[in-house]
Amino acid sequence: MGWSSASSPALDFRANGSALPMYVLFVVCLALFLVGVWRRLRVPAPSAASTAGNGSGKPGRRLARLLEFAILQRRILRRRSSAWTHLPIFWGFVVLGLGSLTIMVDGYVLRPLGLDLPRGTAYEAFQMTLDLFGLAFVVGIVVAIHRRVWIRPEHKPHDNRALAVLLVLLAIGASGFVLEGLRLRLEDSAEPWAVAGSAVATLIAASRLPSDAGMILYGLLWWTHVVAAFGLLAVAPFLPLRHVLTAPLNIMVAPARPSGALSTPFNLKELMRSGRFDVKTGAASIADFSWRDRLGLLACADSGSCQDVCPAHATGTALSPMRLVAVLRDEVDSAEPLDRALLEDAIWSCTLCGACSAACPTLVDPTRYVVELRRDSVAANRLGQQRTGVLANLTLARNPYGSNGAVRRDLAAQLGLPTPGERRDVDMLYWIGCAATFDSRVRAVAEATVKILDRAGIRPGVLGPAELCCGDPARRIGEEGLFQDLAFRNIETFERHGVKTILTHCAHCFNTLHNEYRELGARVEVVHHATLFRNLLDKGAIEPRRPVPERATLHDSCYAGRLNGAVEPPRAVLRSIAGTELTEMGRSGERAMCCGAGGANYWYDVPRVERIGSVRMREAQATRASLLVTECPFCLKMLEDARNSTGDGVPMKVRDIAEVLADALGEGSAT
Amino acid sequence: MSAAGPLTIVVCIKVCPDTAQLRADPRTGAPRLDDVPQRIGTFDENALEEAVRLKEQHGGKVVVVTLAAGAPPPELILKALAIGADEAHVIEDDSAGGADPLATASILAAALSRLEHWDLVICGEGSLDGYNRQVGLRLAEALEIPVLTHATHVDRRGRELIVHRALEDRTVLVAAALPLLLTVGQEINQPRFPTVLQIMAASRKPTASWRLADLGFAEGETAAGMSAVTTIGVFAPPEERRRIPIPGSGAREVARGLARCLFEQGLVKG
Repeated sequence: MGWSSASSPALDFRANGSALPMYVLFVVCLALFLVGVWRRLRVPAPSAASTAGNGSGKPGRRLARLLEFAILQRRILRRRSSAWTHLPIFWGFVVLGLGSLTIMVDGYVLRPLGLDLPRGTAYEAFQMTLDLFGLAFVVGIVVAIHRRVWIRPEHKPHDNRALAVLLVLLAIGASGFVLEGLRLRLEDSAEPWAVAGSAVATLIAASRLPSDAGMILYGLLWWTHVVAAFGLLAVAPFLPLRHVLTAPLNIMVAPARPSGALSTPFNLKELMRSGRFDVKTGAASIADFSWRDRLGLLACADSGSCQDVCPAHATGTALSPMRLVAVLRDEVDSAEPLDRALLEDAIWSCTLCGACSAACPTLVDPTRYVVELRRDSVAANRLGQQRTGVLANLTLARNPYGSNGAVRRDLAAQLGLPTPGERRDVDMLYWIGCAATFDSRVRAVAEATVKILDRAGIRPGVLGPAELCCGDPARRIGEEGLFQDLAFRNIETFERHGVKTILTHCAHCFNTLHNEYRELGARVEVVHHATLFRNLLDKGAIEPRRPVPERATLHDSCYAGRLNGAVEPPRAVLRSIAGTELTEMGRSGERAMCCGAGGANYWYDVPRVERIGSVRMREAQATRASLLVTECPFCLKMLEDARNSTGDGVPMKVRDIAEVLADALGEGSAT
Repeated sequence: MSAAGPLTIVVCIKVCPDTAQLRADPRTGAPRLDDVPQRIGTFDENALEEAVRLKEQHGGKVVVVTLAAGAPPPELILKALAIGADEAHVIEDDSAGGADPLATASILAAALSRLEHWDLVICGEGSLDGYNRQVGLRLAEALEIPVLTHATHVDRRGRELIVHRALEDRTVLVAAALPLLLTVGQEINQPRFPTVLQIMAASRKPTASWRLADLGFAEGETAAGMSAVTTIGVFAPPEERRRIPIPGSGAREVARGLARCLFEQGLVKG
């Protein structure tokens, strides 16, 4: 900060012996800081329950992430309100920090050695830079204080500690300028390039402050400045301010985008071979989280970015991802079992849509904690009736509906598709999915898909009763063993019938088959129907000729869009259809809002003020579209339900992209 | 562990087809059992859960006994053990599918009399498939112990149980001395759901299998043979929906049409 070179002997604290206490204070505060960091990261022996997951990447990737998220701070810039405070504070902090270091080195290392920084134009520019960034810093702090005290955004709960930190930072910044002004006045020197300091000096001159009072004030302020800065360092590990250190570290170890694949805590096949089933899954205490997950807790800076985009929070459930992380962070150095009363409703409210994770400026992924806590709840039998029912259905019927899977044979016959017993040539496996099997509304999606494939000359086959649930609801509820039991049975079926390519119209099946089966040894290529349609259009294998005169808006499914990055294919399909005009919702693509079905939420009720689908339906209606297009059966169901229960507005058609495309090929029923 | 000492609790369970997945043959109306998996009866799961809770409170052990046609699917017995039973006894008789409640109760009673010791027997209210709701009563009769049906809450006071019985319009609190037999329904608890790993780990617990001859029945005696009731047939009576379309545009017009239709069909009298 502005305490630039102390050239006058009277102001040179090194000369009158004041440097030693400062050094002592610095060493003590640094020691306290290090002890604090150690205390927060030191947790009882890490358990193997939670795996580090896909955190890492090559060193180049880590540095690229550091540049993108820690230095350029892309996700902070995306939120205008935080950009205006964080940007000046961050850059002010960095430049002043480097400047103060330069001055310390200059004053206490170089000059005693008889070396000196040249006082030329470069030095003047340096002083001016410091002053300007210092000003930005102070302004940023003032705006931040204003936001906390007067504006009070929802994600900034009343927090005296955070406010105190801001006030201390303000004191450090402001005292720096007053010190610089005092020095200029007392030395009676003019350094106009030190813009802020000179302004303060002018004010002091106008106040006719006696010179000896000025000396005393200078000493007091100097010590305030130093004690505040070093003191903040000492207590930083216990404050959100710690993110200055933890955020860059986390950014280097955490993946940049949320992953569709949950961690795999064990391999059921290996356990069956070894006969040892006493594997601990999930997190009952902080000790059960990996060091990476604990670092994530400490990297949270309470920005509220996650909460702003969380569909569960927006609809009044018990979940705020920010609060969840804060509750866990408060226990970060404890090995005691977590107080589940605070967590139970929150973890079941999560749709695992990944919006929080994709929004976090410091790359914390709250869904990782949700999953580990759910796994613990399952192992400890804290499931409740509805979730128990889903798992019982998945166990007995091997589908979440609990209905007899034998109807899959009848459905194959209805669709005119061969099952493995029949000797017919097939190009790919069409994975029908449980929704299209047991829900007549979704069956229309399968019928449309089969018509499109027929037009393209593709011969699909189906598994019939051998197709079991992919396991997504079991895994997302947290019953990993049941998920793997289903997955291994399906993988065995793929191997038995030489399946190489799988087509699915379900975003959840796609994500699980594509991302999660791989770790269990599956070697299949999986394609989501929207992507296949786009490819067929590109090749000219299908030509939509019949106009579909609609103003359409696309609801991206989280599991195809955000979690797998496939946001372009469905749009390309819609653009290829004559008469269909594509309009986007406020939140679309990788930032689309969840329909409410993810994270197995489709299968149980969550106490909430409003349904997620209703909020999303209003966003769709705001586009004045006549047609809402989905690309996942569960989005289709959720949004259709929301449409049916929303009385106001024009009734909007909700259709899967396959149904719309089949229409445009002249194959579907007219809309 | 309670001062009154540990409890040994016997739970009788029945392995049944999962009726939720049962489909009738479209021609004969007979249930198609070939593609339906087996499960533990739902009320039996409540009985087991209550036994495990009492054990967790007071100490002791839980013994599961079942009569099955041939060996039941091993994962179901393992599931019972994973929920918290300490040992399982499977009585195998090929004709068990034809056993009526009288035969079942006699066979279970013979098995229980061969167990070293027990304080309490808990049965489900009725089985998932037959649902005669007689086995618990007949078993208590055969064992010559008191029976309390419709138990919805159980407390222990020394060698006595205080049992809440939910009757149609009132709840009766009964104190009864052990040994005792209870029958329970879904109201009493939410059975826990053991994970796949917990089920697999339960294979370490002991399971014994018995034949009728081991229980003192004469050679050639079968469960079906002991039954007083003969089942002539099981079928789903055909259900025909009338499928009456109600035309009209707008809710008001359709509602009028529906109301008219209900009158015409004699379903509503006005």
